[in-house]
Amino acid sequence: MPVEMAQAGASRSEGTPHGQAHVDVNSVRLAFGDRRVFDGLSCRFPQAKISVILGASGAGKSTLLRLIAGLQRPDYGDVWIGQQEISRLPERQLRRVRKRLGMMFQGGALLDSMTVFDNVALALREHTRLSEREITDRVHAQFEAVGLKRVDALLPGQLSGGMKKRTALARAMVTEPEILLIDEPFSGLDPLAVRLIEALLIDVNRHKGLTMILTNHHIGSTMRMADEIVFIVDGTSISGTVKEIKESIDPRIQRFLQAAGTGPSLEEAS
Amino acid sequence: MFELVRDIGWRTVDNVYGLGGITLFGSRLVLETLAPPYRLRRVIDELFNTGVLSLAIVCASGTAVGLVLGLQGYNTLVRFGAEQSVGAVVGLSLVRELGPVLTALLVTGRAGSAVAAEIGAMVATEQLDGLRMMSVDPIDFVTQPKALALLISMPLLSALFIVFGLFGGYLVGVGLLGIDAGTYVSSLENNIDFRNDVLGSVLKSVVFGAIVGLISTWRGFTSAPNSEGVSRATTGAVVQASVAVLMFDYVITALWGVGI
Repeated sequence: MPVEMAQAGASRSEGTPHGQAHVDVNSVRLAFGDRRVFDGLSCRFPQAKISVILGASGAGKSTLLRLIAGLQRPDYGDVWIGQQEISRLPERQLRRVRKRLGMMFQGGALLDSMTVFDNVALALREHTRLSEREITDRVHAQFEAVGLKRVDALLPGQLSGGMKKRTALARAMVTEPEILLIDEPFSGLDPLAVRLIEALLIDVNRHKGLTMILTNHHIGSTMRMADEIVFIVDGTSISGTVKEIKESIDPRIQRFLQAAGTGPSLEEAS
Repeated sequence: MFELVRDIGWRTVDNVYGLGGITLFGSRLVLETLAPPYRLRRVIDELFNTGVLSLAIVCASGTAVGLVLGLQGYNTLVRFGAEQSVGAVVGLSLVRELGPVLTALLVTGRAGSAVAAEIGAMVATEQLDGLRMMSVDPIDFVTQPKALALLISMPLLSALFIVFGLFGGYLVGVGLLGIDAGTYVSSLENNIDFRNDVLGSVLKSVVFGAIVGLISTWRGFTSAPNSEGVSRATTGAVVQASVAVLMFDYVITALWGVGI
């Protein structure tokens, strides 16, 4: 299947090469002052698959995640989570939608004044009737899953960058969301930590059927993990499988992949 | 000329927009305070940060102001042969005016700035967005306990400031200038009226607590997500809250004076 340029105005009911869309971004336009970030961006993210958003720095990868999370509203266009359009929902209703989402921020976004344990336990304490013992078990299970040990009483300021990311990942997953949004999970991590997080995300995706949407600069891990790649360029998107993106003859994609040392030369591709 | 008019127009629109924003924000704070869940633990933590950590500066400043008032009051009153009224001058000045106003300015500088900076830093590091993604309302979880703690701690700190001020005035008047201790205290007792003076003082400090709490949390909450934004929020909180305290001081004094 050839790589398709996502068309503005595409219907939400359309699927993806991997099945029905779980998240559907439709004809989105967004500008910050004079700077136009998205100009009719449309893309779909399949259910229970790992989708990776690629693009140059400043292309709008993190902004796209924020749109999906409802943290940013588009100037025009809509964003669907399943059957619900969220871009115009009031904050109170968005809170209900966000219970289905988990998000790991690039810098962790852990609450400085709370311990690592309390950070991860917060959502459970706020939204469930679990006993403190059950919460402790769930939090420790998440710590084990992301490879953290003896961090309960530490404050985020006492963690290394990699540990912060793992804590943030544990916090995003502890409520068992349907959709996990992950902003640059591998930046600043050593190769072993990259492989650990990569394996963890694949494992969670395969076993729990989570829809995962990542932004990533790490091309190697993208090629290993992604079921679908959404390439953001010039305010629009180009979607395809790893194979389709690799074989794409679009010079903008080729330049990006060649710079990362993974794509064929322009001559080979054409 | 056109640019000047345009600039004034934009600034006016901006200010009206800001005023609307802070009003809505204040309403949300009140609603979140009244509606469950009641975050008692977080309010107590914030009371420690805003109240207990301001104790030293309030007590020291109160004593210093009392010492000066005692000295200046004596030097002025002695010209009229009324030095026996030093207690009344110190007491009335502190209870009616200096206690609530100076405490509010001190708390703005120490706790209000810290609140604005902390919330601003949380905005810059996406911590508030992190809360939103956990379906936790940051106004309810972060700002409301801080604003409520400032509201509660302000009258208590003001009372403490007044007590230490009276003590300072006593030290100078009785200890240094030789006024009779009984005269100092009875002058104080006879001239301070509960309704006119003490209740007015309490009302002022409660209003100032609300003003400092609202402006500090609002400036932090709406700061730009970068270090310059945090710095602007902190400075803005101190300046705006201080000016607002002084303006409301006049309004309350005027209204209280005509018997409202």
